[in-house]
Amino acid sequence: MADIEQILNGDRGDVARLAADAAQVPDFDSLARRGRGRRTRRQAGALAVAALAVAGIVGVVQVFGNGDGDVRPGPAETPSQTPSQTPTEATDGPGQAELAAVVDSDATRMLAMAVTPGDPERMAVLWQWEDQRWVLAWTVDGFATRSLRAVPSGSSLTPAADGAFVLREGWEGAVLRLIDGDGLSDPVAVSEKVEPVGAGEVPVVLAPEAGGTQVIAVAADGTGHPIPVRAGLDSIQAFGNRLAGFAYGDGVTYHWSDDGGATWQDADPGPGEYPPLVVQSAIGQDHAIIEGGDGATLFPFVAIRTASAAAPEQWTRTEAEKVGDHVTIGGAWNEDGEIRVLASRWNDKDRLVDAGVWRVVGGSLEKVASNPPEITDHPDVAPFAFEYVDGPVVWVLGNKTGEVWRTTDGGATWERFAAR
Amino acid sequence: MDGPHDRLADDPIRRCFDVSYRRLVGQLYGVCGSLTEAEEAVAEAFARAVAARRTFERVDEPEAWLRTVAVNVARTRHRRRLMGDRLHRRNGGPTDERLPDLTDDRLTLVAALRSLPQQQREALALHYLADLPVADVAETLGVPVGTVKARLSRGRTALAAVLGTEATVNGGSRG
Repeated sequence: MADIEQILNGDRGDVARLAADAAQVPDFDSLARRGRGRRTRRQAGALAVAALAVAGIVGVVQVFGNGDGDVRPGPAETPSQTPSQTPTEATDGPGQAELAAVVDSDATRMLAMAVTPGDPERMAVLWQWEDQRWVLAWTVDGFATRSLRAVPSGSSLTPAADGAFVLREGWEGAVLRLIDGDGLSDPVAVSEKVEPVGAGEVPVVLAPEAGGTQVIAVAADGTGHPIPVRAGLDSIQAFGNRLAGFAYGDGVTYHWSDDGGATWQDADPGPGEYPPLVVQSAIGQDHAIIEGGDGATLFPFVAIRTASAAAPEQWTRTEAEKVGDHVTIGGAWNEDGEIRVLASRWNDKDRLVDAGVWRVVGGSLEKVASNPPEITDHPDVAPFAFEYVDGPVVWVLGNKTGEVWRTTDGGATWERFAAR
Repeated sequence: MDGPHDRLADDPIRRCFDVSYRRLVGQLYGVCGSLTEAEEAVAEAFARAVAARRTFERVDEPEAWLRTVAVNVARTRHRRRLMGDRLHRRNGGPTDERLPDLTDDRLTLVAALRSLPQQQREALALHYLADLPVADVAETLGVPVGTVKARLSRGRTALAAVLGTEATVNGGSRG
């Protein structure tokens, strides 16, 4: 009988060397696009929150409005396609059967979604089949009927006013279009005038560039303009009319604007184990950031930093309580003053202990019972989209491809919706 | 003025990709037990490096960072696959048949590793199959050196049982 030491120590390293020789090297540019897309999707997802918030409170003119009370944008001036009455509408590009096969496949995956605030029947979803093939599916009737269209990889979605959506085409996002029940518009006409987000406008984040990130406010009439954004600001996101982002230099500086970019404030949360995760907090709510270690993959719960809305320069750091296991965070939001997270708890043998919705109490987590529990009580639980309509609305992917669930009560109950 | 290709060559992630991709796949092969899975985990690690470029550019040892990310990716995918196997009542195991040019004994060893608990498999694969020092294995897995040694010890015993060989107690690691 052979000795295990002989087996393990014989030709040490040969397995790795020969496996390396046999490895197929992928195209780096493709990987880089995937990475950039993920970064962009994170930002787009966060900005979708802002968009939903803006669109959801278009009457609150003191925030983004001009005070005249008439916040409904006029009709779109740009031409749009004529919709068909068939369950799956015809568009140009690849054939509808081909697009439908992509969207309806169990092997496809959802990349992003946007919902009209308070009207989940109006939904737009980006689906991916393989790396370069993205399909946009949108509906105005809960996917009883739908429209399909091939879109460039890297595209993103933002809810706009009047039940429309903004499609940012491709990684660079040089072209923005409006989508509604009539189809896709011509490219949004973006002026050069820089001004804050106005009434009925939604902020759309473009891809980060060397000098910072550009954000375009888009109106439902197909026009847009840049908004003021501090140079070097990255990871821009928004929620409940608050724009927030980080600048990375020697440390991390947190920036936010509660007036559509007209003015920005900043604060240094202090040294910690970053990158940070912003707890989605609406205008007027306290600020909170979760530290996530090196952020290499799963986001560990290291510590939480909070600052009151009244004194945002004074931050308090609370380390995560060590209870013999570790926690990975999928996302966090402010639920009526209480911080809630979607998170998984693992033991020291890397076995899942528990997962789902939790409230953060000091540095510890208290489980929030969810119904049905299987929607959130699994190791990959994470927010798929946020919405703000008189409070946070959180969306997650279902356990079956093609369904999404939302909660409007902080994760206690979840409601299913079709996504294709 | 630099052209696009010059700028690409200046990209630290691209440079790391050119130098380290194959080596990382080799190191992950034993962890995953599948060449395709190892390739996917390493590719995903590079994609995450691009997504977190600022973080990546600040790390002292990019290849070590990528290895940690790739191991974490492989671990997550392994969990998901197990869950999927349970849900769909499938038998686990790699479905691809693309194999490195290894002897049957070495292929048997890699297959046997797949039957071990994740922590032992990772430690054994990185230390013996990838020839990483114990300290590097500890750094990759984010655990103390002593923990790695304990996992190696238990792993050797478990592997011996799977392979029907004899284990040597407290031996083998050159730390």
